Amino acid sequence: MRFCDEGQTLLIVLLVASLLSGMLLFSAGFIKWTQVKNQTESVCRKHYLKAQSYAVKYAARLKKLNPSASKLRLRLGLLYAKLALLKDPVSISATLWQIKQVKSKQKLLHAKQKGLIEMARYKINLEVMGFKKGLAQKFNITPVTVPGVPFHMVARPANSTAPTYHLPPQFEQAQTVTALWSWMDFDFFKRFFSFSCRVGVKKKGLKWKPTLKKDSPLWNY
Amino acid sequence: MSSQSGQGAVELVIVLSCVGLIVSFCFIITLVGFTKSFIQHVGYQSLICRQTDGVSQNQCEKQVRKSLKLLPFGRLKKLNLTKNKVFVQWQMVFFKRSLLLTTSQSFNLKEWL
Repeated sequence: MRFCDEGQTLLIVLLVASLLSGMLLFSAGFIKWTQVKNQTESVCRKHYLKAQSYAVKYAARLKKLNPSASKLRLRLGLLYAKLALLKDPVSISATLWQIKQVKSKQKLLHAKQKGLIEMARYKINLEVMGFKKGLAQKFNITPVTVPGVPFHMVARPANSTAPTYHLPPQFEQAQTVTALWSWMDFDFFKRFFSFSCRVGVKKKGLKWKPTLKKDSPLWNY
Repeated sequence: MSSQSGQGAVELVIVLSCVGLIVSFCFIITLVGFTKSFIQHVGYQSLICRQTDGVSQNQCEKQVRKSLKLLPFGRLKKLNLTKNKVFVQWQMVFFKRSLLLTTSQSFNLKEWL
């Protein structure tokens, strides 16, 4: 009695082998996919959260200088008002000297403010570059969209030597950025090989904190 | 002549049993490996979900259950998701033997700042 001939046996063996290797390939592919997805997203979130933390940190530092800026502006206004009323040349020259003093203090403060703005932008850019570099070096991926984290502070009054700086209106929306990248350029499976991360800021109490923002959909496996 | 064909049948049965055993073993190993990496991935995603602004715990748990339903074998035995920690226990049954796959992960956004 023969159970089956050699051809059938070979076919069964081949079928089972291909099924197994298919399963193995799928599992290995899935493990690699999760690694790339999780690690690239981590790189993105890490750098963009850090960039956002610099944005809120330096915005807070700039705002801390606001009382000094307001005080100097007020003092300058009072001195100019005083100057308009004075007739005695000695008092006039004394007031002019005081005005000069206040103006130089304003210039010093402005340099401090500018320094903070430049430092914030430099550190933010460094993090954004770090994200780009991280993807290129570890995964050989060039991101599709690399948004810069904005750092726009509104100066009031704009023409003042040392203005006070305020957060722009709709700061939360303005700070929210989304970076996009693709692992492989397969048009058919684009949805599965395209990754993204969305980072922004959220007000907690009186302070702004960097946070992850909801991506649409909530997560794509 | 008949003793020779009987011997051949016995040999074939032995070979087929061995092949079946190896195939089943490979199948189970692959399935367990895949399931383990899948629940780990889902666990990690759930942690990220919990740290996301404006997403409730309920939404994240719902997403975890929905994702785990994609697995062909087993059932969710335990799911414990807090703001910074996740514990997922997945039960698989092979030949009346239960296998528990567990993943426990923790993550805090502050680690990145």
